[in-house]
Amino acid sequence: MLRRFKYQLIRIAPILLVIGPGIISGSVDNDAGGITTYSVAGAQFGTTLLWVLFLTTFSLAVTQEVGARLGIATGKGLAALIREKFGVRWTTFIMIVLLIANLGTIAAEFAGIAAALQIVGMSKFISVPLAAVIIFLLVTKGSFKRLEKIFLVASAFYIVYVISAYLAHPNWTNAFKDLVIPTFSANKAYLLTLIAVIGTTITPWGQFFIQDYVVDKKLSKEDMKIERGDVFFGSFITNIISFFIIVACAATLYTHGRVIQDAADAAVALQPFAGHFATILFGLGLFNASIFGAALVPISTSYVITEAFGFESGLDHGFSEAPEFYGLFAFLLIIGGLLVVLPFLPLLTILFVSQAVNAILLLPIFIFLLLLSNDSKLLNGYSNGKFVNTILLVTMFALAIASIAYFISIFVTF
Amino acid sequence: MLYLSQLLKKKIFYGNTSLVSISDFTVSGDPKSPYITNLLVKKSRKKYLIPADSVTYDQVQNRFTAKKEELDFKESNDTYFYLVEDLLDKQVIDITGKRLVRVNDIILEVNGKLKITGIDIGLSGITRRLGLNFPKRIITIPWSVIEAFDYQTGDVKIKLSESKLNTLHPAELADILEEVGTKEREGIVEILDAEQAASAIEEANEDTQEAIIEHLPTPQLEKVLEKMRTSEIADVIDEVNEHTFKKILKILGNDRAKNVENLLRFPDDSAGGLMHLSFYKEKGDKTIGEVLGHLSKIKVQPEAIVVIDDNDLLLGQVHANELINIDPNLPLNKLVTTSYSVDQYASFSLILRKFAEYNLRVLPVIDENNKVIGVITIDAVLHRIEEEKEHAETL
Repeated sequence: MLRRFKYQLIRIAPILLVIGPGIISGSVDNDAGGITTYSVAGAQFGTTLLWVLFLTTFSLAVTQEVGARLGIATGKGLAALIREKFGVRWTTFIMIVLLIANLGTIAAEFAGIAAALQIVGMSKFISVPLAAVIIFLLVTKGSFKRLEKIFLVASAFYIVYVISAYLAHPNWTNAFKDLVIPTFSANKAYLLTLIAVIGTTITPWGQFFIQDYVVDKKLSKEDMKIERGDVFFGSFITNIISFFIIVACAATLYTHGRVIQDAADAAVALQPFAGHFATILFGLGLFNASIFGAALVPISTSYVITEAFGFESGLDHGFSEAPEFYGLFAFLLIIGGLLVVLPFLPLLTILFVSQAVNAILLLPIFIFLLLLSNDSKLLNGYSNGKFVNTILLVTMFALAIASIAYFISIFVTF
Repeated sequence: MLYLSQLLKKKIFYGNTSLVSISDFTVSGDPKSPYITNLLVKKSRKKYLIPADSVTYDQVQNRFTAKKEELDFKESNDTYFYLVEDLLDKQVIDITGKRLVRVNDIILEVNGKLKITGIDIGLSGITRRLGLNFPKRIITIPWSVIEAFDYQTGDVKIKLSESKLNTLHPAELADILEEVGTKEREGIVEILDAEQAASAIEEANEDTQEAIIEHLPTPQLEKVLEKMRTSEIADVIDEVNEHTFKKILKILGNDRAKNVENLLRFPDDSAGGLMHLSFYKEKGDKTIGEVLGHLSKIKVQPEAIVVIDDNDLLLGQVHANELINIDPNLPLNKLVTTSYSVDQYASFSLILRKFAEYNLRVLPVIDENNKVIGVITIDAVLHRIEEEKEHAETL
C-alpha cells in the first residue's frame, strides 16, 4: 500500500509536489547584495523606504508569476523564447544586458565573501581568488549540487533578523506608517538606495532563474495554481525578511546615527539578539549567502547564454564537449572576482551599486517579458490579464522614472 | 554558400525601382528537399505572399528581380511552413548527432529553384546575422538528417512512418524529450510509432514521463500503454494526476489494472517495486531439448530461465547460454546449482548486494509462500542507481 499511500498523500497535499521554485528563488534573492542593500537602507534612512519594499512585493510576485507561467505554458526558458520570437540581434542585446547585470551580481557575491572574511581578518586579495577557485572546482566536480541543500537550509539564518528587530524595540507605529505611506526625497543617496532596493528584490537573474526552474521541473498547466501560490508565498516571505532587516537596522543603527562602512557595522543590527556574537553570526550568514550566490549566478548565467546561442551547455557535458559553457563560467568567476579586487573600491560600494545597476538593466528585460507574456498565440490561453499588465507597466515606469531622476540628481543638486 | 540571412530584408527590383522588401519565405515540396515557393513581403503594413516563380534571383549580384512590374500579391496565411517563423532560431533534432540543435542560419542552393540544403548551427551563423564577419568555423548539418517540429503545418507535412525519429534509440529520444519545450514534446510523441513511444517514455526521467502521459490523447495513450510493460506502467502511474490515473486503469482493463495496483503496494526501491512481471519460467522436470525447442519459437530471448517445481516454488535459475552443448535429454533441474532470490519487500541495498556478490543478471522475487512473482533484471538495478544519482544531484 505504501506507494498508493504516497500517491494519496500527494493528492491531499498537492503543494508538496511543486512547491519550491518560488521559495528558493525568493530566498536566493536575499543574497549578499540584498542583505547589504536592506542594511544600508535601514541604517541611512530608517524605515522611510519601507513603502518601496511594500510595493515591490507585488511587483516581485507578479514578475515571478509571469516567469513561472511562461515556463509552464511553453516548457521553454526566457532566453529561448526571446531567441525564437525576436531573433539573434535582440537575443544578443538581452544577453549582453544579462551578462553585465549578472557580472555585477557576481561581483557583489564576491564582495560579500570578502566582507565576511574580513571580519576574521582575511584580506580580499586572498579570500576572493581562493573562493573563485574553490567554487570552480566544487561546481565542475559535481559536489556543488549536494552542498546546495545545506546552503539553502543555512539561509534560514535570516530568521534572526526577525528576533533581533523585535528585541531592538523599534517604533512599530512609524514602521507600519512608513510601510504604507510613501515619503519621497529628491536627494541623490535616497534615490540610489530606492533603486537599489528595487534592484535587489526583482533581478534580471531571478527572472531567468524562476522560468528555467519551472521548465526543468516540467510543471504542467494543472500545476499552474499551485505554482502561482508558491511564487506569491515565496515573494511574500522574502520581503517579510527584508522588512525585518530594514527595521532591525533602523532601530539599531539609524537611531544612533551610525553609518555602515563595513560588514562589522552591519552586524550591529543583530546585537539585540546575539550580543557579542552578532559579528560572527552576521559574518557566517553573509558568507553562506555569498558563496551560494557566487556559485549559482555564474552557473545559471552560463546555462542561459550558451543555450540562447545554441552551444552545448550543462554540467553533464565534459570540458571538451562544451568549451563555451565552461569557458564562460570561468570567465564570469574571474571577471566577477577581479571587479572586487582590482578597482580598490570599498566592498560595500560594490555590493550596493551593483544592485542599482541590476535595477536599471531590468528595464529592457521587462519589455521582453511584457511582450512575450501578452503573446496569446504563444501562451494559448495563458497570456496576461489586465491586472498583471498594469502591475508590470507601473513597476517599469516607476523604475524608469527613479533611474532618470537619479541620473539627473547626479548633475543637479536640489 | 548561400544563406537565408543574406536574402532577408532584400528588395525586389523591377528595373531600377525597388518594389517591396522580403521578410520571410514559405517552403514546400518533398520534405527531403524542400524549396522556396513564396516570398513574404510587407506592403502598406499588411503581409502578402508573392509566388517565387514570379521573380528571378541572381546569386552573383544577390538581387531579386520581378518578371513583370505588377506583382501578384496573395493574402498570407498560417497554413504554410515559413522559414523565419517556423524554422530559424528554433530547435531541431539532428538525427545523426542524436541531439537538439538551434538553427542559427539556413543554407540554400540556387538550382532553378531556391532549395534548402542544410542549416548552420555554429557561431558563424550568429556572427553572420549580426553583421560581424570575422571568420569562424562553420558548423553545418545537411537537411536530410534534420527533423523539424513545425512540420505539421503546410504541405511539407511528414508521413508518420517516414519520421526519422523512429530510427533513434529510445534512450536518445528520451534525452531529447527531456530537453524540448511542451509543444515540441507533444509533437514528437505524436509522430512516433507506439512501440518507440513506449520505450522512450520508459527511458525518460520521472518529470518527463508525467508530462508526456498526462497530455497524451486517449487513442494514443491506449496504444502506448499496450506496448508498455506492466511494471513500467506501475512506475509511471504513481506520478500522474488523479484524472490520468483513473483513465489509465480504465484503459488497462481489469486484469492488467489489477496487476498494476498489486505492484503499487511496493515501495519504489523494494524488490516488488523493481521487478518485472513477465519472465520466462519452466518446470524443472522438462528436458533441455524441450526447453531449447520452446526457446527457438519465441521472439525475445530471456536472459535467464526461472526453474520451478510442480507447486510453482522456486528451484533456481539457468542462463540460456548454459543450455548449449549439454545432453538434451537431461532434465532442467540438473543444471540448477544454487538458487538466489529475494523476498518481495527486500530493500534495494540487499538486492544490490546480491547482484554484485553473485554476478547476477536476473534475480527472482518470491512472495511469502516462496512462489516466484517476478524477476529483477540488472537493467532495472542500473536504472534505479541512475535515478538515485539524479535525485542526489537535483534539488
